[in-house]
Amino acid sequence: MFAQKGVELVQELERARDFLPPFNEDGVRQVLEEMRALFEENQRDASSAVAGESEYITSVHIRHCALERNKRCLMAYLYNRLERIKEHRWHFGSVLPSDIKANICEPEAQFFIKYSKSLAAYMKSIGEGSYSLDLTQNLKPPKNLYIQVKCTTEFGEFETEDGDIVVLKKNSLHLLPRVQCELLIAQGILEHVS
Amino acid sequence: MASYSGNLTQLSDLFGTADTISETEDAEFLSASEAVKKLEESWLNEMLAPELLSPQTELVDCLLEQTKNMEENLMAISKSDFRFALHRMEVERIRYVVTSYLRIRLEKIEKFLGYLLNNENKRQRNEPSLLTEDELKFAQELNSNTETHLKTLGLRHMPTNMREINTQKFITTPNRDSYVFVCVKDDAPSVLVSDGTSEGEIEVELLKNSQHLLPYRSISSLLQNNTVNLL
Amino acid sequence: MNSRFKNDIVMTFKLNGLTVRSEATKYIIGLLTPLHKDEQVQWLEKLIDVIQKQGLLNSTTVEKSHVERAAKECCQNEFDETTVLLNVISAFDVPKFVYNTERKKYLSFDAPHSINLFGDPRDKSEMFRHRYAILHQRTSRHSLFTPSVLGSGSTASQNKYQLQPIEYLLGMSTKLTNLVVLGMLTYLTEGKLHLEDMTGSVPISLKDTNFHGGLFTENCFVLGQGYFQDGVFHIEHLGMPPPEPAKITRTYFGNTNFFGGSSTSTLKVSVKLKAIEEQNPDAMMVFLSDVWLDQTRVMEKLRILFAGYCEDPPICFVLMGNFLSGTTCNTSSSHLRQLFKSLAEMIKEFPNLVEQTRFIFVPGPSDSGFCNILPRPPLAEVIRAEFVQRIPSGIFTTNPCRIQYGTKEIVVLREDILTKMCRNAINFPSDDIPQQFAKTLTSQGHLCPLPGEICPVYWPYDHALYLYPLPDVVVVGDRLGGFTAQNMDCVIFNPGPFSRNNFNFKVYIPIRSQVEDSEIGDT
Repeated sequence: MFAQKGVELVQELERARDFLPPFNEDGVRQVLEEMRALFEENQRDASSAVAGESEYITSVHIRHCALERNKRCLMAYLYNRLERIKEHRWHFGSVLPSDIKANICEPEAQFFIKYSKSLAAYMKSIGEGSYSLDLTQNLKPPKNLYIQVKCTTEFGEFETEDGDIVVLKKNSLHLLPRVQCELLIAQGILEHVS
Repeated sequence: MASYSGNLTQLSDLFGTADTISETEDAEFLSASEAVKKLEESWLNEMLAPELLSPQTELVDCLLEQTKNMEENLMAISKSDFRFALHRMEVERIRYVVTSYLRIRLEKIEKFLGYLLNNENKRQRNEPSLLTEDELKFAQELNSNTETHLKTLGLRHMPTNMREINTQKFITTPNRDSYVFVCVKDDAPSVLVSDGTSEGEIEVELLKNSQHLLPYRSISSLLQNNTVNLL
Repeated sequence: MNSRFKNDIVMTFKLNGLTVRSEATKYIIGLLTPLHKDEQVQWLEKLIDVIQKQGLLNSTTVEKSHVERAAKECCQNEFDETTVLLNVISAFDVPKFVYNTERKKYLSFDAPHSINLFGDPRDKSEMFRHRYAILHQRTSRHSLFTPSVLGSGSTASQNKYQLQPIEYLLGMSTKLTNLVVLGMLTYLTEGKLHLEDMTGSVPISLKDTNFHGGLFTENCFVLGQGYFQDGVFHIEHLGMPPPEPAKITRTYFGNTNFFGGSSTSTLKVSVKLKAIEEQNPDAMMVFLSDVWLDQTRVMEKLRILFAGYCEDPPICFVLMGNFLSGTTCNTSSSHLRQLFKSLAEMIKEFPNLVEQTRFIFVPGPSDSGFCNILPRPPLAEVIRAEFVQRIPSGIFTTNPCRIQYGTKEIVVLREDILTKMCRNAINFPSDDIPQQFAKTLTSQGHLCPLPGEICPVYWPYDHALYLYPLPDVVVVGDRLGGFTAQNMDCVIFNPGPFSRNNFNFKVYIPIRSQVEDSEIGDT
């Protein structure tokens, strides 16, 4: 059946809702191949249809619908992956963890960098200098100024905004200002202990 | 939520900065607590409305100025003073509201990208825009990045007559018919609400301080001129 | 003021989703304080840009080393690519990539320790497996073997074949016809030729075989089509796996730098380098093979050669061994040293050449120092010391070696490959040997698809001999006369022994991808 591969691509994304599966280059290539083949066939039949043999019109129409469907599936696949990549910027900061990096292709990595840059430029424009707002932080209403955190990995020295240097060793407990730790909590380096 | 602004006035009294006043372009004077209250209202409205509302840039700028001043004042006080903690908490709360407000706007911009950019293009010069300059820049960059990406990976390799996407067909428009809870601030005598049929509309009167569940479409203009608030 | 600046820096990094270490911040403050405020902002942005582009960050924490490296790159940006116009890559520096069948990608092989010269027995089988993997994935992607696309016309689907693994044959007891198998020719038992792949081996019969183009030797990979009966695969058509132009390889594997050198992405697509190449359209590279320095006639001819090029110096002279006409004995290295010294003195008479041309020396099979296993390390320090002292820009490199000039990739090998292949060929083709040779090399994707006894290779360094993706030029210094051939955008030529015939050599002009024959006659 036509457009089978396109639908498979979309299904692949649908099944993997929580993570980003590897970029299915093969699948994309096959869809494009199919489109090319259908188009060539259509060109041949279309010229004979124009010449007057009207029985080709239905097959041209079917192929055209298949082409449109393929295009739509492919665009949906690519666009949906972009959406997930954008989400990653909000969760992980601007460096992707290596397992996600392995699953995205080069243009997607470029898009991620460009999106990060756009976002950074926008955030910079809100305030000035150190008073700009990092929109990826402050996701929950603040309850306390300081929170108790436990360090999960050997991080080393960490400097707070006030200039205090805290040495984050594995499994050490600290009482730190909430704003400073948010980025590290999001990455899993620190863990909130209630 | 109302307690936030309450705390702020108390603290400002404590510091003697009760009269921190900022000016907007229309020479309106807002006291600190009023600014925060207004921002909270805008924040709630933005969160609950299905479409993007007008940006409250002056409010945001004013409050950020406020927090900046407060932080600078804070530098002067020692950390162990309890007032420091309270004041700091206040700053954090204001920053949270502003951050959340801007974040919600960004989310809506990303969601309704095509629709908003279309409106921007069609907008006349004297009409106010729904996007700030920086937001517009962000939206345009995102749009062009997405298009380039789709072109590189897919469209470029497709047969020649299929290389364009008709973006008009694929944009999401906000659903202006979704229902929202409203709280009426001032009397609104004639509000048109559809009565279920496709053409019929009933006029309804909204009394001050009453609460209703209405389709967004009917009250969007009222929301704009601040007659109602969303809950 | 400093703390404000520090907070600004930390915040800027934070807006870009990165946390910066305190020592890195201190370093940046140190770098940027002398600048004007607007410039500070600009440079900070640029630094962050470069850090993100370098892609060296494993997590969102930016260390001082990252900042240092980024700062260096920022300053060097304009000079980086231009200085690498001519780059000689030794065989031991060629990056190793391993094909990952699940992800269908070439992944860089990071050895936990440095690669041993003499490998384990496992390395020998790995060597053949890797070679097979290259050819298998390349062949399965070829249009003859990909299943026909739905929607294509009926004519297109007729010429499709399906690659079968050998275990498929071994599993069947009935006669199977119209099979196509990719495998390696081996003599598993004395005198009996087998076809072997990753799944097994099958004896073959070449009685009625129709040999398609190429020089078939033991240990080369072939595509056989025929029928299988009574445990023997009767091959009706024997051919080479179809070669693949470098452009197509790159569309599948991206811009990874397979060739070697310091750049992480391939320089073939560098627009800057192409522009520089085009600025110098008459640039040429001169290749000589078998330059016997101990013969006075050769030295005289070399002098004439250098004098001739003095006005218009080429990019480089590539002089391949052997550098002595006699056999190697215990006085060879000191003799060679003296000869190189006199060669250096001779070259110094042409200061133009000393300044503008690079001299590249590739050792030959019988040059003293190392035994002739490929890849062969460069001539010893002891031999080249005198030359390098006089002409510091001289490069003594390995055999084979890779030269990158601008966007052109050139592979140089001094080994009698063609002679050995002709001697060991299963079927000697009747026509145009150089063309068959070119076809063989490009199809095999390897510089010497010969058995280990004939042409030994250090097993762990087999990847240095790969011709995949296909380079632009392969220069093979062979004992047979000079020739030029081309297959699939790859030019393969042999300069011919300089010292034996009429002192002939070849000149390669990169911009036009042309090879010109030359000789120094008796004047």
